[in-house]
Amino acid sequence: MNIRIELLERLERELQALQVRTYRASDAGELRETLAGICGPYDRSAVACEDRPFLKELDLGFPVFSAREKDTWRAEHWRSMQEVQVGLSGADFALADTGTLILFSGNAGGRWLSLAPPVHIALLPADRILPGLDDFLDRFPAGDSLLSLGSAVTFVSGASRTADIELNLVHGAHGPKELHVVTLLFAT
Amino acid sequence: MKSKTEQFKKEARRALTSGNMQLAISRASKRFSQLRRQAFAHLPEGEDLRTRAQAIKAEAVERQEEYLEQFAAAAEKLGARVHRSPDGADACRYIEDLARTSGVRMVVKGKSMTTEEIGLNGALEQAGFQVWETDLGEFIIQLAGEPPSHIIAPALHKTQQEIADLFVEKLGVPLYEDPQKLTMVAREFLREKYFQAGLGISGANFALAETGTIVILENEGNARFSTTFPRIHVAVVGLEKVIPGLSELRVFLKLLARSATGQKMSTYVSLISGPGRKNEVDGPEELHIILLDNGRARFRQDAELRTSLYCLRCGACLNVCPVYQRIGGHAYGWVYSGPIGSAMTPQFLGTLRAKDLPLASTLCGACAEVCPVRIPLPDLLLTLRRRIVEAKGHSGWERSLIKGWAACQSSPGCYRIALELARLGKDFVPGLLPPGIELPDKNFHRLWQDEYQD
Repeated sequence: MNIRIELLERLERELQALQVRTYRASDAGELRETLAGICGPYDRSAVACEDRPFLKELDLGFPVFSAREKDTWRAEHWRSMQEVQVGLSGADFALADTGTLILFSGNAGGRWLSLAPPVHIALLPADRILPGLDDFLDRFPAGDSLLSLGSAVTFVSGASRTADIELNLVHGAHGPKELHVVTLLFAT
Repeated sequence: MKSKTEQFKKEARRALTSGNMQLAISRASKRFSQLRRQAFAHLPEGEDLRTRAQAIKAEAVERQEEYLEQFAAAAEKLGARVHRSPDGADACRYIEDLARTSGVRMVVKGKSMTTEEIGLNGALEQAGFQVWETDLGEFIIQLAGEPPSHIIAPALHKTQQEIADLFVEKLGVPLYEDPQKLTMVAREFLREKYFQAGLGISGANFALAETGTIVILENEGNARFSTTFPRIHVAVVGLEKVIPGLSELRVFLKLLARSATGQKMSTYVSLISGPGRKNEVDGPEELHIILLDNGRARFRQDAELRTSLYCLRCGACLNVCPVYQRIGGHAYGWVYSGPIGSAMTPQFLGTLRAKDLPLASTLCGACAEVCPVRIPLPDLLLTLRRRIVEAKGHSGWERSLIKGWAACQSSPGCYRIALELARLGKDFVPGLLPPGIELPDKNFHRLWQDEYQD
């Protein structure tokens, strides 16, 4: 796996400046340990894992949140929201110079897993780190190819925040209160 | 939104004497300006980007019709329904009808100045729907029944204590006195609304012609909720929001958050292309996009003022404006405040109706210096001033007064005498200077003579 360490370091610096906690895992064992550490305070059943092939292969042992049933998904999401404390998702890309994760709704997780649970953990394969926005957008010169990524392509830079009350910064206004990014240094 | 812009002078005077609000607004606007300055100090290409952004907007406004057609075709291909609304009333009616025929009772909204502009909340409430603003600042002022006082920080004028009391009164929660707890109250309260609401409304920061995508920037996540969980998503998009595509978007993504709050990137940038898809686990079943004119096509025809359509609504011009810093957003009497409000409100509501706004400017040019799309705001205000005079005509004594003033200003001796007279006059004529304005002991000339000249 081709890892550009200076990109990874830059990304981690930017993420930390946004109060995001960063971790590295060099194999599946380390990843399990890291996740056990982050999820420590929560019950295993309070974690929802995205239904994404590489996460399945890693076999992390968390309940998998899977595709929608046509009419009942909303009720199910609402029920899950009462129970799920941690959303575990992949990240499709990351931009080092702004500390940004890019998530495609077309890739299994949809939109809610990175939005509704109070804690969001994103697993980022190290070869998905790009220097900046231009490098990401240049991958879609035709524009049209953006559409294949899903109905929502979301750039996430830090945990949800607001400063609407006398400019005091508060995390978790609506979205996650905590964001953790685990960079995977092994092939997935 | 109802306009009180005719009462600008009265409201501005009131704001000047309201110590709390003045303090809050000047503190916040200075903080935002400082964050912006720091962000641009770390962006060497910032000035180039502003020039490019201006050029992109100029071209996009020039070829607006073409891009809008392209946008509509692309969005419809993705399964969105696109509706062109000539005015706010039409847009409100469209949403009311949609909500009614879909059996919707509750509506959630992400922050949108455009929907403020057309008074959507009032219209929907009057039609019997329950409407919830979900951006924390908008939620607070909705509970308080007040208009926004800043484009990006609508509840800027309210103190923590006021918000705590408001939540006790309106939401029946205990008195919480820290921002963290108050934010959590709003979070929990609004969570279930996203699921109960049948319809979610958002604005859009950009519309990409190439792909039919709408782009929404935010920090809280409420816009993501509002555009994900309700069965129907309606986006209200001003005509001027359309840009060619992704390669143009990159320029604005680098500028917008930096100009607004000094962030490198807003916490969430959502690129929404059509409603949720069958293979996805969530997302709305229907997406309706309302392309709103409401005067914009007319502004576009106005060669002298059309640059005001480039505005990204970042609020940077408000933050640096010495007038806005003193009086805040409410005095402007309508949705848009600060320098851009002074340039736009007369176009929306009529030059004479908003005649005080372009006059309430020192023409210092600070706004134009920070505008991410380089709108020449002082020029726009001067144009509007000229038009006001042309429309009103001016009386003989006004003409003589201006002539006399010009003569006085062109002679140094005369100018100095006038200044001394003003200094003396203020002691004898109470009210000659507005409240809060003080003259220094020595004017610049005297200071220069006494202390700095060799």
